[in-house]
Parts: sequence; structure tokens; C-alpha cells
Amino acid sequence: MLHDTPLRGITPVDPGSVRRARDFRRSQLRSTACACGLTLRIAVVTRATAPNVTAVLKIAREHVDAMIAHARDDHPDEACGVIVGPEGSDVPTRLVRMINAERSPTFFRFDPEEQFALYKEMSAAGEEIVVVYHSHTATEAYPSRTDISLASEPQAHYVIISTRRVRCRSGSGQRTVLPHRRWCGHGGGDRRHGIGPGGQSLAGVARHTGETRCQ
Amino acid sequence: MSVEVRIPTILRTFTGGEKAVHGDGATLQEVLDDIDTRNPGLKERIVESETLRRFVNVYVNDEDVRFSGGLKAATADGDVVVVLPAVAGG
Repeated sequence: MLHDTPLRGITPVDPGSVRRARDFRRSQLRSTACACGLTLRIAVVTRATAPNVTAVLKIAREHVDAMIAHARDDHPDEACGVIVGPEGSDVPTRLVRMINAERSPTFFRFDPEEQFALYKEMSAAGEEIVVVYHSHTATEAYPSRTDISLASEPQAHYVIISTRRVRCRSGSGQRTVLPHRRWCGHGGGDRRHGIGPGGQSLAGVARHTGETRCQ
Repeated sequence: MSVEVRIPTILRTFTGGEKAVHGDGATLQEVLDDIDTRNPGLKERIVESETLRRFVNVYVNDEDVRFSGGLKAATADGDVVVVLPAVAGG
């Protein structure tokens, strides 16, 4: 059963951790449900900086597929983009692929000109960034120290897609497979406490999507 | 008239939740100094060692100030300054 599995890398240590620990469990349950449903569900921790955030984030299957497709397209460089939605709704409705100005397998940064164009577009339409996604091409779908220290959209959820090739053991020996892992969380900051510099929380769960196979 | 500075969500803790604040000054530096007097700590999140922080983008009237003088970029009444933290990670 997934809901009793402790999360790796996140150790609640502060008095406020009870709420987050509960949400982590919920996150895993929702992820389990996702495997056979049409909607990916991710638990959300209420944040002081975003009181209007609802308890559960839903990302449409087409957007999940589009994020994975983007990650595959840009591999071995990191892919990045956003899903925007009406301001304050916490509902991601429109996916926008962004250019990784760094063109790097280990780093991403939105192209400043494109990001500014997106900002103006969103301001005019009353939208905001609901999901920030990017890929990890050589590591698991888990926020790196850089991800945590640079997370700067307190209202957004951060989704990570891993395109790294991993070796797994089967009866016929080791084979290389291409799994996709997604980490879903939000905010940024200190991984240990799960609280970012802006007061935002960090929660997440890494899991396989079921595409990993040993042949 | 003054210069309008649009504040990103993550820095609105310095402005009491306001999406935009107003300041006076003939350069971006002066405007930031001015708004910092009423919103203490805000400038420090944008400027470090007298230069713009690496992961903060600032635009004056749609112009990225990295290409127009940085903190010395000219400002005038009615101008709009947009502060956008870079979306980046590893």
C-alpha cells in the first residue's frame, strides 16, 4: 500500500509538520488513483502566501501527456514550460511550452523575452501560472537544491518529469529502459522543512508512471 | 505622476499584498530607493551589491534593463517598471 510509504528526502521536523505529513499521504493516495483514472491528482499544502489554493490540484490528462512529450522532444536538454489558468482559480487550463534559454541538460531558465511576453499575455487575460514544469534528464524526478532555491512562484505547483535512462535488473540481466517519473509539488526553499524563503511550502512525491519495463 | 512598479507575487509580502507601488526617480536605482523607504526590504530582493540580482528580470516600459543601463536605466513620470523573478532551476 502506497499510503504508508514514507517519502524519501523530506523529513518533517517542525511543529507544523503534522499537516504536511498528512498531505503527503494524501498525495500518494491521489497518485495511486491516477494510474487508472483520467485525471492526475496531486495533494496541495495550504500556504500562507496563497490562501486561495484549493486542497487538490487536477491536471488534465492531455496536459500531462503534453508535458511528457515536451520532455521527450527536448531530451537530452531540460524542457520547461507552464500551465496557466484564471488568476486565483488554481485550475491549470492552458499549457505553454517555454524555451530553455540555457539549452542545458542540467539547468533551465525561461527565455526572459518570452517570459515577459507570457507575463503581458497573462496580465491582459487575468491569468497566472498554475503549474511550472521542467524535466530532469539524468536524475530522478525530485527537486534539486537549485530547483528549491530558485522556486519563485509561490502560487504555482512544480512538476518534474524525469527522462533519464536507468538500468534495472531482470532475469536476462541489466537492460536500459526509459522511464518517466514525475514529481509534483510546489513552492520552494528548504527541503528539510518544506518551507521556502517566501513562506511557501514544499510537498511532493516521486513515483513511477508505470512506463518502466525490463525486457 | 510617478513611476509604477509592478511587484511579483513572491515580493508582495513587502508591499502589504499590493500588486503595484509607485515611486519617484530619474533612474531605476532612484525609483527602487524611493519605494524601499515605504516598503523596507523590497530593494534588497531585487538588488545585490549595487547590481540587479542574477535571477530577477526588470523591465522599464517593455525594455529589459540589462540592455538599457541596468540600475542606471532612465525613468520618467508615467513609466511602468515590471519586476519578474526568473523561472529557473536545475
